[in-house]
Amino acid sequence: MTHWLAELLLVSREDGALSPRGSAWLENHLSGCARCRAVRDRGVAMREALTPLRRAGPPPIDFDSVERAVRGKLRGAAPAGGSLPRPLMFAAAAAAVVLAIVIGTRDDHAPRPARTIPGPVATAEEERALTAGLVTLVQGSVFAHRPLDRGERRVVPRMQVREGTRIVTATRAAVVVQTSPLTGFRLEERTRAEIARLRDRDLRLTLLHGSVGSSVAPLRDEDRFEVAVGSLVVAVRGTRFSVSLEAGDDVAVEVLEGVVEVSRYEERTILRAPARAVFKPGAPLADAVRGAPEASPGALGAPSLNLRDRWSEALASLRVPGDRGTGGEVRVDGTPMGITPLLVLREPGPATVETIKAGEITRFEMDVSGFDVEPTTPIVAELPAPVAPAVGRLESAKIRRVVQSHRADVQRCYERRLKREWNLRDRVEMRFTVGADGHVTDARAQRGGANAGIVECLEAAVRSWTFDRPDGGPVTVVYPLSFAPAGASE
Amino acid sequence: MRATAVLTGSWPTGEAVRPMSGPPSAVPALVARVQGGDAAAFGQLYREHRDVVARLVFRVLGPTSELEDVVQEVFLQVHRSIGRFRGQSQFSTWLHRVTVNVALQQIRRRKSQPIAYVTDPVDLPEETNDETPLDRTLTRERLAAVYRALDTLAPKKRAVLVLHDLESVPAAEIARIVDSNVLTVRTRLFYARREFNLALEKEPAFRGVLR
Repeated sequence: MTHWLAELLLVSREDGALSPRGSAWLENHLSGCARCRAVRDRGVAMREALTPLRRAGPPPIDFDSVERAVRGKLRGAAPAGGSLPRPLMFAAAAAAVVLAIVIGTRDDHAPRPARTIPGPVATAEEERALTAGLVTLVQGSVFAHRPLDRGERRVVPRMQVREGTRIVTATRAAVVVQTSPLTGFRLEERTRAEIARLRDRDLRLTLLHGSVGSSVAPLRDEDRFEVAVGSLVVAVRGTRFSVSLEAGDDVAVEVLEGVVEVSRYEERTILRAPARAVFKPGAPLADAVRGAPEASPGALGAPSLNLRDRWSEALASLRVPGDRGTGGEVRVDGTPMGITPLLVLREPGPATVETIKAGEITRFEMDVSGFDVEPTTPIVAELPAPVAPAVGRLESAKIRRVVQSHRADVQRCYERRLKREWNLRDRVEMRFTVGADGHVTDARAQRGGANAGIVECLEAAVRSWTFDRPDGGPVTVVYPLSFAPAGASE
Repeated sequence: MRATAVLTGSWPTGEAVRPMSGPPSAVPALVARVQGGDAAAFGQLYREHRDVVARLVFRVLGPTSELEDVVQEVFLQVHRSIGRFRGQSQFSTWLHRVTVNVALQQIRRRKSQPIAYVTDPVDLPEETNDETPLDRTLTRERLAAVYRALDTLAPKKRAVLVLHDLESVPAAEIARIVDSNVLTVRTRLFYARREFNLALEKEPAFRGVLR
């Protein structure tokens, strides 16, 4: 009984819900009980082992298609105003189950709800309310993805990004997006974020991985600017701050100017500049704020890219003339800017721009004073685009969509074998090559597939599938498929 | 060589800075509009919450081809039930409840039918410099093992363990989501962990971690 209680109290202690008396009892018990200490240590080891897994996110979802399907199903339906009494609900559910058994209905065989109902993603009114963000700086490789666009797009300065766009920055890359002349955000390297909402004076950014720095003009009452990380929401009104997703799902919020509000479910707390707080999963928000150290000035990036200097000083844009070839690199005052077209945001005054190609350095002098250009009409600097990789590319969401559309083929292969082996359970990794024309040129089971019959059937099925044409050449795909009989799970 | 440049403007002084007094987004007003039958408001509600819902469905179900179908079902359920949302809890709590219930229904459905899963490759975070291909392979294998172990749990225990240990939701909030009390949630978590750990001990990917 005492062991059971100790284990239960260990759970309470994790949530900070253990009274001092309970805590004292637990410590006393642990000191004399090797078994419970082992349970505690195993719990710690388990949570550590799960930490990297918590960072795994869902695969790309075609949210627009899902929205169209939902809208299609709801056409003409008003939100339900009331609920059935519980007994009636159970009775209705039971009746549905009986009916399903009698007529042999199986959801898997029923036609899947169409997710490609034509029509606008947003209503005309909504579309009018949508606004776009302007990309004002790109450093290194940055890609944007919208579910309905054809694949990923390389982000370039002056490109407009809209609600629903997911932006991914590679190593040593960064991107700055302005949503108004005084408001914008900067995604640091190896960051993944989605513009969940972008309307007139209303921006919500969902940080999926990495770090985002933001500058926000003083807003009016109806304005909103939020960065969401998991269940944590950082909301501001006129400030400068950064949010980073760190190891162990900790979220670091650094406030350099003004005030931000941090909320998680019903908890909320205020951070006033200068402050830096690290919010740990499960720990009360107030714990992070208590004793939070001051933020360090200039923490939002290298000086020449610092958001602080954006509008107070100058926006310098330049065009590096001439053909410098691909693979070149540009530095401004020694700061590497990558090889993509770029727009330089920096303090006024002379600066040195270097382009480097195969050891050759060419210097340009740049004077960033004395011109009068509107902030919303920047001049774009352009360098030759990098050479496209020789390896073919096919967006994973597109692969997934085709595989899902042929789910019936997979099911058929399985059920055919299931008639002979009622308890067949298998996992097969299919490796197949999508040729330049989109047809599958080769398909075979890479791992698993102990049952030869099912493997042959799957290989034949996969060879008949057609995908979009990959960019740049054939693509090899490895796709896992699992099978389990009724009553079992994957 | 001289190139163009420039810009005028001034950095905001921050004088008008003030924290938000209400919830970070005007969710109650939006919910009221949806309850009133405003289709545009429902679209906005969908766009604001779809990421959270997708993430939670993924957490509960694991890598699966059913993800989009379940997200779709969640929002259909939200539309059907939002008339009954009286604002007694946060909308996010209510939405989590709907999401968890729909995901658990999907698990129960799985268990009653033979099915071929088209398992999606897991979308792992970007590689970090200190992470080797071996690390990433191990992470994938562990993730698959975690969901095999979760499949051995009863749906209610699975929900509590996923919310607490994978999604880091505090027990008090879980109690509101699953419409239970905190003590029940902790007890359920305690038993869920026992069963979960037992199942994981059999997994090669966790060999050496739990001993």
